[in-house]
This record gives sequence, structure tokens and C-alpha cells, in this order.
Amino acid sequence: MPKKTVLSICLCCSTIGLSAGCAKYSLPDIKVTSTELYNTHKEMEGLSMAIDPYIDKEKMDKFFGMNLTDKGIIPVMIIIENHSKSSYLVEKNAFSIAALDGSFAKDKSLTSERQSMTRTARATSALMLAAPFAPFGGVAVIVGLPIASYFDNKEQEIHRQIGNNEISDKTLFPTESMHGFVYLQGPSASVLQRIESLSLSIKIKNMESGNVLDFSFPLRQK
Amino acid sequence: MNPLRFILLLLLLLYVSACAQTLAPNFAFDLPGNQKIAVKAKYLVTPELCKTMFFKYTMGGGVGWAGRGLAMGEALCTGVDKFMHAAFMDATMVPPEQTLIASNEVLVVPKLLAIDMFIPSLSGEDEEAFINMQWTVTDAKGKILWTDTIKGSAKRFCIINLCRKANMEQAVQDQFQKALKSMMNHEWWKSVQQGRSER
Repeated sequence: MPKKTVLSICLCCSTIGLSAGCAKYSLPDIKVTSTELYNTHKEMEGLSMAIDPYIDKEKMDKFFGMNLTDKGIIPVMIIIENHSKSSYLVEKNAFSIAALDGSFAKDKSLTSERQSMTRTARATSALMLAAPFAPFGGVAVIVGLPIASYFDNKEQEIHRQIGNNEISDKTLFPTESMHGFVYLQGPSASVLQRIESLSLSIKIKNMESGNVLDFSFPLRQK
Repeated sequence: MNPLRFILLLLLLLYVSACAQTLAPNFAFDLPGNQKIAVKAKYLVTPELCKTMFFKYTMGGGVGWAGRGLAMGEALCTGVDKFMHAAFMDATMVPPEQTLIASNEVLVVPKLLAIDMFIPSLSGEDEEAFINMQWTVTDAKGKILWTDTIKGSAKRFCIINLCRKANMEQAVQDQFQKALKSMMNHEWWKSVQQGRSER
């Protein structure tokens, strides 16, 4: 192999290696505190609950890496603590949104939405970013690859953050607690304008008595 | 070794590693207190679960299992089978059309919710494999006695798919172990043992 080619390969590899750190992207862990510390806190028959809607743009950028309300989505953190002696059944399909004007859809899992939100650009991002550098040969690889990697890693991280924090079905036994997001989805990007008229209803079933507790929270707290 | 031969060997290894692979985790359950649940259980394993394939499309196109897939179904169904026999004193698999059970029995239904892999490119970070399964136990009248959604995960630094396969195997093991721990954590089966699961 000619010396010049070996040197070029070594140069490319070392530059890519050195720029590898630039491709790193991570989002912070989402932490919650006791339900009593939220101003939305409510308690019924020993079951304590609070919600924390993520409607602030900066907060959403910090924890999700993007503004989800632009896509008509409001992530709402639900925190539940069981201080009673009964067990409760928390089911994802027991969360629903009520709108005074009837324009808001029932709550929806973002499983399929996540795919479309995060996967669309992945296949093309590397090519698109490297394309302007194509006439410069190796430079396209050295410059384009770390940039494309960064965006690819960002997409995967957002995907992971949304998926890992989604609330799931669970039997909540005495002294147990749980938390997670429901992702409420509206028909357009103007969800924040209508937020005053929206409230979240959560139905939790007592597994011993069969009684259903109905919690209702306005999304915009006064 | 001649550098050209080394590169060819490396390419061959990467190619073989990218071929379709079958997951084969080691299911060794660590039973809390070594005490099985003294209730007859029937469990449902759907044909879809046993045919599960995982496809991962990544930016480079050359890594992951784009197109070929990682065969996970057989391992998941074996896992459910071993899990049930580890958790219950008496466990029998039933086909989806025969889910009627007696009043002293429970029906266990595992459902696969998601499988994913976080493969960061050029950042030097560990890769992460995930699997989410929902477990539901009902009585003869269809009342839910216990349900939980279990997330299994594993992390390691990988370059080739053989390593990613091992990572996924660990995530699957983690999921089953956590599910067993969660299921045994509270005595939800008391009502069935005492024959008072009417509501």
C-alpha cells in the first residue's frame, strides 16, 4: 500500500477519533419529589396524587431536547403515592383529557409517534450533512460524520427519554409509589393556547372494594 | 500479519457478525426466599411473542440488524416457560383459545411492549439494550390480581453485533429477574388460595 494512502487513512481515523467526543449527547434524568410538595397535590382515601405538566419551553428543552408542544404534545408527569391499606390499579387507559370545546383528543400513547418523531431524519442526516463537503473528498467524512453522529445520538436519546419515562400499568400496593409521563396530544401545534380549558382526569380502581376514585386536575394551575 | 489481510479479516468478522442471529440468554432465576407461589397457574404465550424479531436501523447502515434481524422470540418464550415454573408450584401453558380457568387457578399473561437498543455513534459511550414487558395475573372471573410493567436493560461498550446480542441477552435476563422479584413482592395470591376472589 502506498505510504501516502496509509498516512491519509491514519489522518482520517485520528481526526474522527479526536472529534468523537463532540458526537456525545445526553439528557438529564427526570426526578420527582413527594406529592405533597406539588401545588397540584390531591388525596382521596389515602391515595395521594400530583401532576406536573411540562409546558415551559426551557424545561422541555432541558429534559426532552426539543419543544414537544410544537408537535401538539403536552407531557404531564403523574406522581402517585399509596398511603392507604388498600391496593390500587393504575392503568394507562384510565387517563383522559377533557376539553371545554371538545377539540382535544383522548390521551394517546406516543409509542408510534415516537418512531416518527425521532426516526425520520436518521437515515438521511449523515448524507445531508456531508453533502456540501462532497467535492472535498475526505473532508466530507471528517467534518460530516461527527456532526451527523451528534444528531443521530440526539434522536436516539430523545427517543429513549420519552420511552423510558412513560407511565405504565401497575398494581400499587400499600406504601408503594410510582411516577411517569402521559403524553397528551392535540390536533395542532396550538395546544398551549387552549390549555386554560383543559383538565386531566385519572381514574384509579381500589382492588379490594372495586370503587373507582376519579381525580381531576386543571392543566394550567392558578 | 499483512495489513491488507488484517483489514479483510476484520471486514469478514463484521460481515458475519451482522448476519441474522438468535438470542440465547441463560435463564437462572434467583427466587426470593426460595418459596414458590402455591397456586395453580396457567399461562398464555402468543405465537407472535415466539416469532419476535428485532430490527435496528442505525445511521451507518452497516451496524445493527437492518434487514436481517435478531431472532428473539424463541428465547422470550423459553424465558416465560422457565419463569412460570420458577414462580409457581404448578404451571401449565395454554393456547390463546383456552383461557378459561378454575376458581383456584390464575391466568398469567405476559405481553411484549417494546424492544430497543441505544447505539451511540462516535461518542465512545456504552450501548444500551432495553426490553419492556407487561405482566398481568387474573382470576377465573377476569379480575386483575397483579399487573406490572417491567423494564429490563443492559449496558456495555460494543463494536460488533455479537457484543450487541450479548447485551440484549443480558437485558432479557434482567427483565425476567425483575419481573419475578416484583411478582413475589406482595402476596396478591392469598385471595385465590382462600377462595375469596369474587369481586
